[in-house]
Amino acid sequence: MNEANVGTTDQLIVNMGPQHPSTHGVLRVALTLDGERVVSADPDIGYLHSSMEKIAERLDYRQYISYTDRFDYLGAMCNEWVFVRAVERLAGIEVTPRCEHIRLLMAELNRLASHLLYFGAMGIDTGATTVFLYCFRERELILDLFEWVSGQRLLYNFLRVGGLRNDLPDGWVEQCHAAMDALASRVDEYDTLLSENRIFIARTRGIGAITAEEALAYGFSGPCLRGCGVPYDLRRVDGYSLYPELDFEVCVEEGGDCLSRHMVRSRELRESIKIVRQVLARLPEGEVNVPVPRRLKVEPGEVYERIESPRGELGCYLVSDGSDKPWRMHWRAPSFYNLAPLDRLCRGHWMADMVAVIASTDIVLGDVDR
Amino acid sequence: MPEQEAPQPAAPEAERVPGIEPAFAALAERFGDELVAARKTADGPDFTVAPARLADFVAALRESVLAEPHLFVDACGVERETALEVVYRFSLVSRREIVTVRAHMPKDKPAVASLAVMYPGARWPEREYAEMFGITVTGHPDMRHLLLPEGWVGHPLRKDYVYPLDHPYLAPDPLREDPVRVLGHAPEGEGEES
Repeated sequence: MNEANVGTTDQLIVNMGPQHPSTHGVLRVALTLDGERVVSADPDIGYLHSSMEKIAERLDYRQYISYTDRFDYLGAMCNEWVFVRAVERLAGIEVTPRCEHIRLLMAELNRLASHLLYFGAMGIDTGATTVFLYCFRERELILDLFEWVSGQRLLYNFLRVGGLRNDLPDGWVEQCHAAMDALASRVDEYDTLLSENRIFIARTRGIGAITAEEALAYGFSGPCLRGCGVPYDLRRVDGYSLYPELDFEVCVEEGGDCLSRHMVRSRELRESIKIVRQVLARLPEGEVNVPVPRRLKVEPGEVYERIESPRGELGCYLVSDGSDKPWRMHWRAPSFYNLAPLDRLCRGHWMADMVAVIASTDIVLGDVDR
Repeated sequence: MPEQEAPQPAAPEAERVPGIEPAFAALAERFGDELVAARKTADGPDFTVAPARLADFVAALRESVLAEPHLFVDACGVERETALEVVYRFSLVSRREIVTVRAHMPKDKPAVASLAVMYPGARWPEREYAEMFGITVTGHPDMRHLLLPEGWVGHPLRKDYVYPLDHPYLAPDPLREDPVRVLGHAPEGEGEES
């Protein structure tokens, strides 16, 4: 050992990922460590980049819907919804009330499924494996509903411009009611297992904290931003679709840390169950599709359409040149902006806290890389 | 591939509505010719400014339409018929109002002033449109490639981009190299619909 180095510390660069299981996909973070402390964290993304935006320029509007499923694969219904909303707004298509209800229903069920997966992943990342199994059991109830209605469990390809692939099958509504009843009785159980667990609270309180001003400048959205005390929920701010007529609460927590982000999602599970029950109760009869030309051409123009996906503000920017293909399409992906401040969130914390921070932002790497 | 491509329709023209609406007279006075267009849309105000003044302009907006708490929403590039365009979006927190700021640049030497210092959220999207469209972002602290590997040649979201079929990262595609052997017959023309 060199005499001069005794008693001093060196900074060490450690690669976390891309195969690290707790990075929720293929994310590589180049960590600079001083002992166990994070000096800086540099996320390296692009491993899942699949040219979603370039592909859109070569496919017509109808064909692209199945691609929208594939970037944020945990919120596929929401991706489809924002895309068909953008096309419909450009083309001036009005959908039927029943279709609008079913779309909203699917988006909220998707939010439940996504938050349940978040719960499980957050638990397993912080060392609580039991809740992971419970959440996946309940998520199965929702995936079964999706499978029944669309034939798919993850990538649904269910929405169409001007309507849906098919109407709800007989008995689906009753099954959905039953699933909501089962889920509602178990959400409290997750909280006792995880959210009120002393070890979990110790791992997440005060970790990865960010102020509201910084979060806004970073483009944080969704539960991450609401965890900083900003009541920014597009379901209320924009009031799109049927949300103004529904009774639900925008969940806001003040801390800005991992625990606050977690508690927002925990409360949103209950709110989404509330929304699903309301929509089921008022589901109107009627057609689900309006006639749309097979080769849909929209007027030249552009539109930015956005909805509240499970991860935050999901935007679809569509530029049309009057042909049957988009001239340019761009995704405003919430995970992309929720991951970007990772360095800011982790700096100064222990390396082990990185895992809690990444899990609490609930990123999907397909959504980050698109 | 290029010879199979259907003739591209004309690109959508940049901004059809030039001129400054009276509500933005103060900004027009301050920026003169460098504020190209300012109008109100159903979503909120929509500005077009000179690319070199983009950061100054957004700083000025923070005293007027962006004085309230607002979210940095997005930045992306668009290729228009005669120009490249970058589009920045901000959203007010309290109500539905999206503020759009655009800048048009020539296609040969595009450059724009970065917002990354004012809005750290702009760092990644600026890196993304810089590599995808070949736009130089001045004043950006870190201009490495973001989604593409280091050393990638070309700007994939440009309309004239040719996919490098001999790129070392790409596996050879039997369908492209010998379609008759894979399909058993000559490939059908692209663009035909089922």
